[in-house]
Amino acid sequence: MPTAAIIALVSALVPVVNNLINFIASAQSSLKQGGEMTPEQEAALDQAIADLVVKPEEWQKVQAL
Amino acid sequence: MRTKSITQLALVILLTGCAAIQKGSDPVVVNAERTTQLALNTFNMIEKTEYDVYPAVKAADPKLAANIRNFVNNLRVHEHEWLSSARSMTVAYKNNRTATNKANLQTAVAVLQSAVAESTKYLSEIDKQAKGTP
Repeated sequence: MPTAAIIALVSALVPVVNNLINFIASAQSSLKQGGEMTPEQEAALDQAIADLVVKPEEWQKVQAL
Repeated sequence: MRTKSITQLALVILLTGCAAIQKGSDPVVVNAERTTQLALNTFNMIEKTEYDVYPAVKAADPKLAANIRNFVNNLRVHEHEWLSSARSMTVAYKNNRTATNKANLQTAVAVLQSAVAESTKYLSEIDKQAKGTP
């Protein structure tokens, strides 16, 4: 593998690992909650799902890569 | 750190359905809600990861980059439908706990679990790719 590609890959992975650590912390926290969601938690989840719809400009960025 | 993180992620996903459930809570509902939340977080993470590392992965392993892109683009198209379906089935089951509603909910949850497992597989592939580097 070319050295430049290795450096680029490792550099790109640093923020990914940070995201992963944060994600694991939040997932572990949610596992400790053994009951059904409260109405507030359900509303937050529903809102987060509603916000998922991909914006056209985001698609353009992805396709341009 | 990277290997530990991926291992922890796999464990968290495996344990999602096994964690203790509070007395009085319906395990079907708890499992559905946990899985939906975990799926949402996982989808967000792999989409961001793919967006961030795509150029670097493409330079290192074009085939892997193409496979991840295909999977994530498919996820971007379907995730809203899958997650919304799981939520509406959860609400339907909570309102009317029939065998049919339970089966529908479990099917929706299985779709999410499958997509989460596939996401984890691709995250591990990225991890392996990086571990192969000095």
